[in-house]
Amino acid sequence: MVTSALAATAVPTLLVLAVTFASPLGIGLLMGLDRKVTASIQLRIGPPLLQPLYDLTKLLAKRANPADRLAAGLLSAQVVMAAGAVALLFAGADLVVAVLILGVARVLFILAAGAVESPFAQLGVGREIILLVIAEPLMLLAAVAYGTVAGSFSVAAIAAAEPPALALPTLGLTLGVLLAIALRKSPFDIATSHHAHQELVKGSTTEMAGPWLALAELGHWFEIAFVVVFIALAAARLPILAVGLIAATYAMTIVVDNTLPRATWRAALAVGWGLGGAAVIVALVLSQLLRTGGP
Amino acid sequence: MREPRELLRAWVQRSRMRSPWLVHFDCGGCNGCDIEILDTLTPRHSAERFGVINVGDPRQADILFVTGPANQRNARVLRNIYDEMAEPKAVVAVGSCAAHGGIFRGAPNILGGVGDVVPVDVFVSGCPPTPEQILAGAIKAIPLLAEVRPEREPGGGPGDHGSVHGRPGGEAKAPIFTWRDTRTDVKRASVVSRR
Repeated sequence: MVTSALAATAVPTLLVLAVTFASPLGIGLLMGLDRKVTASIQLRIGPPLLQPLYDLTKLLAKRANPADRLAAGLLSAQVVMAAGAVALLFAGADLVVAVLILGVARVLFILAAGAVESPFAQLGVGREIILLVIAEPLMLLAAVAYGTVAGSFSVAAIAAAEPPALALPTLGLTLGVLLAIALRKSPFDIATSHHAHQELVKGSTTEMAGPWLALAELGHWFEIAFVVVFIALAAARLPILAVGLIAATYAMTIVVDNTLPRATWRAALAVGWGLGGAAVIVALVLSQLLRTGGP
Repeated sequence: MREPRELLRAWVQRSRMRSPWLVHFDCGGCNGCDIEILDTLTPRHSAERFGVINVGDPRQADILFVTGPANQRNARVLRNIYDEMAEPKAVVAVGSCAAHGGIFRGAPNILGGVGDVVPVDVFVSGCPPTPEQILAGAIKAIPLLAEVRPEREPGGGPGDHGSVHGRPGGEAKAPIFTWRDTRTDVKRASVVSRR
Protein backbone atom coordinates (compact mmCIF):
# COMPACT_ATOMS: atom_id res chain seq x y z
CA MET A 1 0.00 0.00 0.00
CA VAL A 2 2.73 2.42 1.01
CA THR A 3 4.79 1.64 -2.06
CA SER A 4 1.83 2.08 -4.41
CA ALA A 5 0.98 5.43 -2.75
CA LEU A 6 4.60 6.45 -3.08
CA ALA A 7 4.62 5.41 -6.72
CA ALA A 8 1.40 7.35 -7.30
CA THR A 9 3.07 10.59 -6.18
CA ALA A 10 6.65 9.82 -7.25
CA VAL A 11 5.92 9.00 -10.88
CA PRO A 12 4.10 12.26 -11.74
CA THR A 13 6.71 14.25 -9.79
CA LEU A 14 9.57 12.62 -11.69
CA LEU A 15 7.71 13.21 -14.93
CA VAL A 16 7.28 16.92 -14.13
CA LEU A 17 10.98 17.20 -13.25
CA ALA A 18 12.01 15.37 -16.43
CA VAL A 19 9.86 17.62 -18.64
CA THR A 20 11.16 20.70 -16.81
CA PHE A 21 14.80 19.74 -17.30
CA ALA A 22 14.17 18.82 -20.93
CA SER A 23 12.46 22.16 -21.68
CA PRO A 24 15.69 24.16 -22.20
CA LEU A 25 16.74 21.63 -24.88
CA GLY A 26 13.48 22.24 -26.70
CA ILE A 27 13.91 26.00 -26.37
CA GLY A 28 17.50 25.69 -27.68
CA LEU A 29 16.18 23.95 -30.80
CA LEU A 30 13.38 26.51 -31.15
CA MET A 31 15.93 29.35 -31.03
CA GLY A 32 18.12 27.52 -33.56
CA LEU A 33 15.09 27.36 -35.85
CA ASP A 34 14.45 31.04 -35.16
CA ARG A 35 18.01 31.92 -36.24
CA LYS A 36 17.60 29.79 -39.39
CA VAL A 37 14.34 31.57 -40.29
CA THR A 38 15.81 35.01 -39.57
CA ALA A 39 18.84 34.10 -41.72
CA SER A 40 16.63 33.03 -44.61
CA ILE A 41 14.71 36.33 -44.37
CA GLN A 42 18.10 38.07 -44.78
CA LEU A 43 19.04 35.68 -47.63
CA ARG A 44 21.77 34.00 -45.57
CA ILE A 45 22.42 30.32 -44.92
CA GLY A 46 22.40 30.84 -41.18
CA PRO A 47 23.95 28.80 -38.36
CA PRO A 48 23.30 25.09 -37.78
CA LEU A 49 20.05 24.19 -35.99
CA LEU A 50 22.00 23.16 -32.88
CA GLN A 51 23.84 26.52 -32.69
CA PRO A 52 22.27 27.73 -29.39
CA LEU A 53 23.23 24.41 -27.75
CA TYR A 54 26.80 24.71 -29.11
CA ASP A 55 26.97 28.25 -27.71
CA LEU A 56 25.70 27.16 -24.29
CA THR A 57 28.13 24.19 -24.09
CA LYS A 58 31.04 26.37 -25.14
CA LEU A 59 30.21 28.98 -22.51
CA LEU A 60 29.94 26.30 -19.82
CA ALA A 61 33.37 24.93 -20.84
CA LYS A 62 35.15 28.30 -20.80
CA ARG A 63 37.74 29.08 -18.11
CA ALA A 64 36.30 32.26 -16.67
CA ASN A 65 36.00 33.74 -13.21
CA PRO A 66 32.87 35.57 -12.11
CA ALA A 67 33.25 39.35 -12.02
CA ASP A 68 31.46 39.35 -8.68
CA ARG A 69 30.70 36.57 -6.18
CA LEU A 70 27.28 37.95 -5.29
CA ALA A 71 26.38 38.06 -8.97
CA ALA A 72 27.47 34.41 -9.36
CA GLY A 73 25.19 33.31 -6.52
CA LEU A 74 22.26 35.36 -7.80
CA LEU A 75 22.69 33.95 -11.31
CA SER A 76 22.52 30.39 -9.98
CA ALA A 77 19.45 31.31 -7.91
CA GLN A 78 17.60 32.81 -10.87
CA VAL A 79 18.04 29.57 -12.86
CA VAL A 80 16.55 27.57 -9.96
CA MET A 81 13.63 30.01 -9.62
CA ALA A 82 12.88 30.08 -13.35
CA ALA A 83 13.06 26.26 -13.52
CA GLY A 84 10.73 26.14 -10.49
CA ALA A 85 8.21 28.39 -12.25
CA VAL A 86 8.23 26.09 -15.31
CA ALA A 87 7.88 23.02 -13.06
CA LEU A 88 4.83 24.61 -11.36
CA LEU A 89 3.17 24.99 -14.78
CA PHE A 90 3.85 21.37 -15.72
CA ALA A 91 2.63 20.22 -12.29
CA GLY A 92 -0.71 21.96 -12.90
CA ALA A 93 -0.32 24.29 -9.90
CA ASP A 94 -1.61 27.84 -9.41
CA LEU A 95 -0.92 30.00 -12.47
CA VAL A 96 -0.65 33.31 -10.59
CA VAL A 97 1.93 31.83 -8.19
CA ALA A 98 3.94 30.50 -11.15
CA VAL A 99 3.88 33.95 -12.85
CA LEU A 100 5.03 35.65 -9.64
CA ILE A 101 7.85 33.11 -9.15
CA LEU A 102 9.03 33.79 -12.70
CA GLY A 103 8.97 37.47 -11.74
CA VAL A 104 11.21 36.66 -8.75
CA ALA A 105 13.65 34.88 -11.11
CA ARG A 106 13.81 37.98 -13.30
CA VAL A 107 14.36 40.25 -10.31
CA LEU A 108 17.24 37.97 -9.21
CA PHE A 109 18.75 38.32 -12.69
CA ILE A 110 18.40 42.11 -12.48
CA LEU A 111 20.16 42.09 -9.08
CA ALA A 112 22.95 39.90 -10.54
CA ALA A 113 23.42 42.29 -13.45
CA GLY A 114 23.39 45.28 -11.10
CA ALA A 115 25.92 43.76 -8.66
CA VAL A 116 28.81 45.11 -10.75
CA GLU A 117 29.62 48.78 -11.20
CA SER A 118 30.08 48.71 -14.96
CA PRO A 119 28.10 51.62 -16.45
CA PHE A 120 26.87 49.44 -19.32
CA ALA A 121 25.59 46.82 -16.88
CA GLN A 122 23.83 49.55 -14.90
CA LEU A 123 22.23 50.91 -18.08
CA GLY A 124 21.14 47.35 -18.93
CA VAL A 125 19.64 46.95 -15.46
CA GLY A 126 17.48 50.06 -15.92
CA ARG A 127 16.21 48.62 -19.17
CA GLU A 128 15.60 45.15 -17.74
CA ILE A 129 13.40 46.89 -15.15
CA ILE A 130 11.46 48.65 -17.96
CA LEU A 131 10.91 45.22 -19.59
CA LEU A 132 9.80 43.75 -16.26
CA VAL A 133 7.38 46.64 -15.74
CA ILE A 134 5.89 45.92 -19.18
CA ALA A 135 5.85 42.11 -19.00
CA GLU A 136 4.86 41.30 -15.43
CA PRO A 137 1.50 43.16 -15.28
CA LEU A 138 0.61 41.98 -18.79
CA MET A 139 1.27 38.38 -17.83
CA LEU A 140 -0.72 38.70 -14.58
CA LEU A 141 -3.66 40.29 -16.43
CA ALA A 142 -3.53 37.53 -19.04
CA ALA A 143 -3.51 34.97 -16.20
CA VAL A 144 -6.58 36.67 -14.71
CA ALA A 145 -8.27 36.46 -18.13
CA TYR A 146 -7.46 32.72 -18.31
CA GLY A 147 -8.78 32.28 -14.78
CA THR A 148 -12.04 34.09 -15.52
CA VAL A 149 -12.72 31.82 -18.50
CA ALA A 150 -11.83 28.64 -16.62
CA GLY A 151 -13.36 29.61 -13.28
CA SER A 152 -10.10 28.74 -11.51
CA PHE A 153 -6.45 29.79 -11.48
CA SER A 154 -5.25 26.19 -11.36
CA VAL A 155 -3.22 25.37 -14.48
CA ALA A 156 -4.87 21.93 -14.60
CA ALA A 157 -8.36 23.52 -14.61
CA ILE A 158 -7.39 26.09 -17.26
CA ALA A 159 -5.95 23.33 -19.46
CA ALA A 160 -9.22 21.38 -19.17
CA ALA A 161 -11.52 24.38 -19.69
CA GLU A 162 -12.74 26.07 -22.86
CA PRO A 163 -9.65 27.50 -24.66
CA PRO A 164 -9.25 31.17 -23.54
CA ALA A 165 -7.77 31.95 -26.98
CA LEU A 166 -11.15 31.13 -28.58
CA ALA A 167 -13.26 32.82 -25.91
CA LEU A 168 -11.11 35.99 -25.85
CA PRO A 169 -9.40 36.32 -29.27
CA THR A 170 -7.61 39.62 -28.47
CA LEU A 171 -5.41 37.71 -25.99
CA GLY A 172 -3.34 36.59 -29.01
CA LEU A 173 -1.78 40.06 -29.34
CA THR A 174 -0.87 40.18 -25.66
CA LEU A 175 0.69 36.72 -25.89
CA GLY A 176 2.70 37.87 -28.92
CA VAL A 177 4.03 40.85 -26.95
CA LEU A 178 4.87 38.58 -24.00
CA LEU A 179 6.77 36.18 -26.30
CA ALA A 180 8.66 39.07 -27.92
CA ILE A 181 9.68 40.30 -24.47
CA ALA A 182 10.75 36.81 -23.36
CA LEU A 183 12.84 36.42 -26.52
CA ARG A 184 14.18 39.98 -26.14
CA LYS A 185 13.30 40.67 -29.74
CA SER A 186 13.00 44.14 -31.19
CA PRO A 187 11.58 46.47 -29.86
CA PHE A 188 12.24 44.65 -26.58
CA ASP A 189 15.98 44.05 -27.19
CA ILE A 190 16.86 47.21 -25.31
CA ALA A 191 18.69 45.63 -22.35
CA THR A 192 21.12 43.26 -24.06
CA SER A 193 21.38 41.22 -27.23
CA HIS A 194 23.56 38.89 -29.26
CA HIS A 195 23.22 41.12 -32.27
CA ALA A 196 24.82 44.41 -33.16
CA HIS A 197 21.85 46.09 -34.80
CA GLN A 198 20.31 47.87 -31.85
CA GLU A 199 20.87 50.80 -29.57
CA LEU A 200 22.76 49.03 -26.77
CA VAL A 201 24.79 45.99 -27.86
CA LYS A 202 25.71 44.70 -24.42
CA GLY A 203 23.91 45.87 -21.33
CA SER A 204 22.87 43.66 -18.46
CA THR A 205 25.22 40.80 -19.44
CA THR A 206 28.32 43.02 -19.90
CA GLU A 207 30.30 41.61 -16.98
CA MET A 208 29.15 37.99 -17.33
CA ALA A 209 31.59 35.57 -18.94
CA GLY A 210 31.87 31.85 -19.61
CA PRO A 211 29.80 29.66 -17.28
CA TRP A 212 28.19 32.68 -15.64
CA LEU A 213 26.90 33.94 -18.96
CA ALA A 214 25.72 30.36 -19.60
CA LEU A 215 23.70 30.50 -16.35
CA ALA A 216 22.13 33.79 -17.44
CA GLU A 217 21.32 32.19 -20.79
CA LEU A 218 19.86 29.07 -19.14
CA GLY A 219 17.60 31.17 -16.90
CA HIS A 220 16.53 33.06 -19.99
CA TRP A 221 15.68 29.79 -21.77
CA PHE A 222 13.53 28.70 -18.81
CA GLU A 223 11.78 32.07 -19.04
CA ILE A 224 11.08 31.47 -22.75
CA ALA A 225 9.89 27.93 -21.94
CA PHE A 226 7.51 29.43 -19.36
CA VAL A 227 6.06 31.89 -21.86
CA VAL A 228 5.71 29.22 -24.57
CA VAL A 229 3.81 26.96 -22.16
CA PHE A 230 1.77 29.99 -21.04
CA ILE A 231 0.78 30.57 -24.67
CA ALA A 232 -0.01 26.89 -25.19
CA LEU A 233 -2.27 27.10 -22.12
CA ALA A 234 -4.53 29.50 -24.02
CA ALA A 235 -5.63 26.52 -26.12
CA ALA A 236 -4.46 23.48 -24.18
CA ARG A 237 -7.58 21.43 -25.00
CA LEU A 238 -6.97 21.79 -28.74
CA PRO A 239 -3.29 20.87 -29.33
CA ILE A 240 -3.44 21.90 -33.01
CA LEU A 241 -4.69 25.36 -32.03
CA ALA A 242 -2.03 25.58 -29.29
CA VAL A 243 0.78 24.78 -31.74
CA GLY A 244 -0.77 27.16 -34.28
CA LEU A 245 -0.94 29.91 -31.64
CA ILE A 246 2.75 29.44 -30.74
CA ALA A 247 3.72 29.41 -34.43
CA ALA A 248 1.62 32.52 -35.16
CA THR A 249 2.96 34.54 -32.22
CA TYR A 250 6.52 33.43 -32.99
CA ALA A 251 6.15 34.39 -36.66
CA MET A 252 4.80 37.76 -35.55
CA THR A 253 7.84 38.39 -33.31
CA ILE A 254 10.29 37.37 -36.07
CA VAL A 255 8.66 39.73 -38.59
CA VAL A 256 8.55 42.60 -36.09
CA ASP A 257 12.17 41.89 -35.08
CA ASN A 258 13.34 42.13 -38.68
CA THR A 259 11.36 45.27 -39.48
CA LEU A 260 12.04 47.30 -36.32
CA PRO A 261 15.80 47.50 -35.84
CA ARG A 262 17.19 50.16 -33.51
CA ALA A 263 13.96 50.63 -31.61
CA THR A 264 14.31 52.51 -28.33
CA TRP A 265 12.82 51.88 -24.90
CA ARG A 266 10.02 54.32 -25.72
CA ALA A 267 9.00 52.06 -28.61
CA ALA A 268 9.13 49.09 -26.22
CA LEU A 269 6.81 50.88 -23.81
CA ALA A 270 4.45 52.03 -26.58
CA VAL A 271 4.21 48.60 -28.23
CA GLY A 272 4.14 46.72 -24.91
CA TRP A 273 1.45 48.71 -23.18
CA GLY A 274 -0.26 50.19 -26.24
CA LEU A 275 -0.72 46.92 -28.10
CA GLY A 276 -0.37 44.19 -25.48
CA GLY A 277 -2.03 46.18 -22.69
CA ALA A 278 -5.01 47.33 -24.79
CA ALA A 279 -5.55 43.78 -26.05
CA VAL A 280 -5.53 42.22 -22.59
CA ILE A 281 -7.87 44.89 -21.18
CA VAL A 282 -10.36 44.27 -24.01
CA ALA A 283 -10.04 40.55 -23.24
CA LEU A 284 -10.71 41.16 -19.53
CA VAL A 285 -13.81 43.27 -20.26
CA LEU A 286 -15.06 40.57 -22.66
CA SER A 287 -14.42 37.87 -20.09
CA GLN A 288 -16.47 39.78 -17.50
CA LEU A 289 -19.33 40.16 -20.01
CA LEU A 290 -19.22 36.47 -20.95
CA ARG A 291 -18.50 35.08 -17.50
CA THR A 292 -20.63 32.17 -16.35
CA GLY A 293 -19.16 31.90 -12.88
CA GLY A 294 -15.57 32.01 -11.67
CA PRO A 295 -13.16 33.10 -9.05
CA MET B 1 29.96 2.73 -28.89
CA ARG B 2 32.19 5.28 -27.21
CA GLU B 3 32.44 5.95 -23.50
CA PRO B 4 30.14 8.67 -22.12
CA ARG B 5 33.13 10.76 -20.99
CA GLU B 6 34.65 10.57 -24.46
CA LEU B 7 31.31 11.52 -26.02
CA LEU B 8 31.04 14.53 -23.70
CA ARG B 9 34.58 15.60 -24.58
CA ALA B 10 33.81 15.30 -28.29
CA TRP B 11 30.61 17.35 -27.82
CA VAL B 12 32.48 20.07 -25.91
CA GLN B 13 35.20 20.22 -28.58
CA ARG B 14 32.60 20.38 -31.32
CA SER B 15 30.76 23.16 -29.47
CA ARG B 16 33.92 25.18 -28.96
CA MET B 17 34.79 24.93 -32.64
CA ARG B 18 31.29 25.82 -33.80
CA SER B 19 30.79 28.89 -31.68
CA PRO B 20 33.66 31.33 -32.29
CA TRP B 21 32.53 34.72 -31.00
CA LEU B 22 34.60 37.65 -32.20
CA VAL B 23 35.74 40.81 -30.51
CA HIS B 24 37.37 43.41 -32.67
CA PHE B 25 40.00 45.95 -31.55
CA ASP B 26 41.52 48.65 -33.72
CA CYS B 27 44.99 49.66 -32.54
CA GLY B 28 44.91 52.78 -34.70
CA GLY B 29 45.38 51.98 -38.36
CA CYS B 30 43.57 53.79 -41.16
CA ASN B 31 40.24 51.95 -40.46
CA GLY B 32 40.40 50.21 -43.86
CA CYS B 33 40.69 46.78 -42.21
CA ASP B 34 37.94 47.65 -39.73
CA ILE B 35 35.55 48.45 -42.56
CA GLU B 36 36.47 45.14 -44.20
CA ILE B 37 35.85 43.29 -40.91
CA LEU B 38 32.40 44.87 -40.66
CA ASP B 39 31.83 43.88 -44.29
CA THR B 40 32.81 40.30 -43.37
CA LEU B 41 30.06 40.27 -40.75
CA THR B 42 27.28 41.48 -43.07
CA PRO B 43 24.66 39.06 -44.43
CA ARG B 44 26.53 39.04 -47.76
CA HIS B 45 29.35 36.89 -46.36
CA SER B 46 27.10 35.14 -43.81
CA ALA B 47 29.74 34.55 -41.14
CA GLU B 48 27.01 33.23 -38.84
CA ARG B 49 27.00 29.92 -40.74
CA PHE B 50 30.25 29.17 -38.86
CA GLY B 51 28.65 30.23 -35.58
CA VAL B 52 30.46 33.57 -35.71
CA ILE B 53 28.90 36.35 -33.65
CA ASN B 54 30.43 39.79 -33.21
CA VAL B 55 30.31 40.54 -29.48
CA GLY B 56 31.15 43.90 -27.94
CA ASP B 57 32.74 42.37 -24.88
CA PRO B 58 36.19 40.71 -24.63
CA ARG B 59 35.04 38.67 -21.62
CA GLN B 60 32.58 36.84 -23.85
CA ALA B 61 34.75 36.49 -26.95
CA ASP B 62 36.80 33.57 -28.27
CA ILE B 63 38.70 35.20 -31.13
CA LEU B 64 40.35 38.62 -30.92
CA PHE B 65 40.58 40.45 -34.25
CA VAL B 66 43.29 43.13 -34.11
CA THR B 67 43.88 45.74 -36.80
CA GLY B 68 46.45 48.51 -36.95
CA PRO B 69 49.98 48.80 -35.57
CA ALA B 70 50.83 48.41 -31.89
CA ASN B 71 51.83 51.79 -30.47
CA GLN B 72 52.93 53.39 -27.21
CA ARG B 73 49.44 54.60 -26.35
CA ASN B 74 47.43 51.43 -26.74
CA ALA B 75 49.77 48.46 -26.25
CA ARG B 76 48.58 48.28 -22.63
CA VAL B 77 44.91 48.44 -23.71
CA LEU B 78 45.46 45.66 -26.25
CA ARG B 79 47.17 43.48 -23.65
CA ASN B 80 44.34 44.18 -21.21
CA ILE B 81 41.70 43.10 -23.73
CA TYR B 82 43.67 39.92 -24.43
CA ASP B 83 44.00 39.15 -20.72
CA GLU B 84 40.27 39.71 -20.13
CA MET B 85 39.37 36.99 -22.64
CA ALA B 86 38.74 33.54 -21.17
CA GLU B 87 40.60 30.46 -22.41
CA PRO B 88 40.35 28.84 -24.92
CA LYS B 89 41.04 31.91 -27.08
CA ALA B 90 42.89 32.86 -30.26
CA VAL B 91 44.21 36.07 -31.81
CA VAL B 92 43.94 36.98 -35.50
CA ALA B 93 46.02 39.94 -36.70
CA VAL B 94 44.24 41.50 -39.68
CA GLY B 95 46.15 43.52 -42.26
CA SER B 96 49.71 44.65 -42.94
CA CYS B 97 49.84 47.12 -40.01
CA ALA B 98 48.89 44.46 -37.47
CA ALA B 99 51.53 42.13 -38.94
CA HIS B 100 54.54 44.48 -38.82
CA GLY B 101 53.45 48.10 -38.52
CA GLY B 102 52.62 48.58 -42.20
CA ILE B 103 53.02 52.11 -43.55
CA PHE B 104 53.36 53.39 -39.96
CA ARG B 105 56.43 51.23 -39.33
CA GLY B 106 59.40 53.30 -38.14
CA ALA B 107 57.28 56.19 -36.82
CA PRO B 108 58.40 57.26 -33.32
CA ASN B 109 55.18 56.24 -31.56
CA ILE B 110 54.90 52.83 -33.25
CA LEU B 111 56.10 49.67 -31.50
CA GLY B 112 55.55 47.46 -34.56
CA GLY B 113 53.11 44.63 -35.23
CA VAL B 114 50.65 43.48 -32.59
CA GLY B 115 52.62 40.23 -32.35
CA ASP B 116 55.02 42.13 -30.08
CA VAL B 117 52.26 42.71 -27.52
CA VAL B 118 50.00 39.64 -27.67
CA PRO B 119 50.60 36.11 -28.98
CA VAL B 120 49.14 36.13 -32.50
CA ASP B 121 47.93 32.81 -33.92
CA VAL B 122 46.94 33.80 -37.45
CA PHE B 123 48.14 36.64 -39.66
CA VAL B 124 45.84 37.79 -42.45
CA SER B 125 47.82 39.77 -45.00
CA GLY B 126 46.56 42.57 -47.19
CA CYS B 127 46.07 46.32 -47.09
CA PRO B 128 43.24 45.87 -46.48
CA PRO B 129 42.50 42.13 -46.76
CA THR B 130 39.27 41.16 -48.50
CA PRO B 131 36.32 39.90 -46.41
CA GLU B 132 36.95 36.41 -47.83
CA GLN B 133 40.53 36.49 -46.52
CA ILE B 134 39.40 37.75 -43.12
CA LEU B 135 36.77 35.00 -42.86
CA ALA B 136 39.43 32.47 -43.88
CA GLY B 137 41.62 33.84 -41.08
CA ALA B 138 38.85 33.28 -38.53
CA ILE B 139 38.28 29.76 -39.83
CA LYS B 140 42.01 29.05 -39.60
CA ALA B 141 41.89 30.04 -35.91
CA ILE B 142 38.89 27.82 -35.10
CA PRO B 143 40.81 24.51 -34.51
CA LEU B 144 42.93 26.34 -31.92
CA LEU B 145 39.81 26.78 -29.78
CA ALA B 146 39.17 23.04 -29.39
CA GLU B 147 41.24 22.69 -26.22
CA VAL B 148 42.55 25.00 -23.49
CA ARG B 149 46.14 25.78 -24.47
CA PRO B 150 49.01 26.62 -22.12
CA GLU B 151 49.82 30.33 -21.68
CA ARG B 152 51.60 31.79 -24.68
CA GLU B 153 54.18 34.56 -25.04
CA PRO B 154 54.04 37.25 -27.74
CA GLY B 155 55.82 35.69 -30.72
CA GLY B 156 56.48 38.71 -32.96
CA GLY B 157 55.40 39.19 -36.55
CA PRO B 158 54.73 36.62 -39.26
CA GLY B 159 57.73 34.27 -39.63
CA ASP B 160 60.12 35.53 -42.29
CA HIS B 161 59.79 39.21 -41.44
CA GLY B 162 60.34 39.09 -37.71
CA SER B 163 59.48 41.98 -35.45
CA VAL B 164 60.44 45.62 -35.69
CA HIS B 165 62.52 45.64 -32.54
CA GLY B 166 64.57 42.65 -33.50
CA ARG B 167 62.82 40.37 -31.03
CA PRO B 168 62.47 37.29 -33.21
CA GLY B 169 60.51 35.54 -30.41
CA GLY B 170 59.21 32.01 -30.88
CA GLU B 171 58.83 29.81 -33.88
CA ALA B 172 58.08 31.20 -37.30
CA LYS B 173 54.41 31.22 -38.17
CA ALA B 174 53.32 30.67 -41.73
CA PRO B 175 50.94 33.41 -42.87
CA ILE B 176 47.73 32.00 -44.33
CA PHE B 177 48.23 33.93 -47.54
CA THR B 178 51.59 34.75 -49.04
CA TRP B 179 52.67 38.07 -47.68
CA ARG B 180 53.35 40.60 -50.40
CA ASP B 181 54.54 44.12 -50.67
CA THR B 182 51.90 46.49 -49.35
CA ARG B 183 51.49 48.21 -52.69
CA THR B 184 50.82 44.92 -54.48
CA ASP B 185 48.21 44.16 -51.85
CA VAL B 186 46.44 47.43 -52.54
CA LYS B 187 46.36 46.65 -56.24
CA ARG B 188 45.10 43.13 -55.69
CA ALA B 189 42.42 44.25 -53.27
CA SER B 190 41.14 46.81 -55.72
CA VAL B 191 40.94 44.17 -58.44
CA VAL B 192 39.02 41.82 -56.19
CA SER B 193 36.56 44.46 -55.08
CA ARG B 194 35.69 45.35 -58.70
CA ARG B 195 33.55 42.25 -59.17
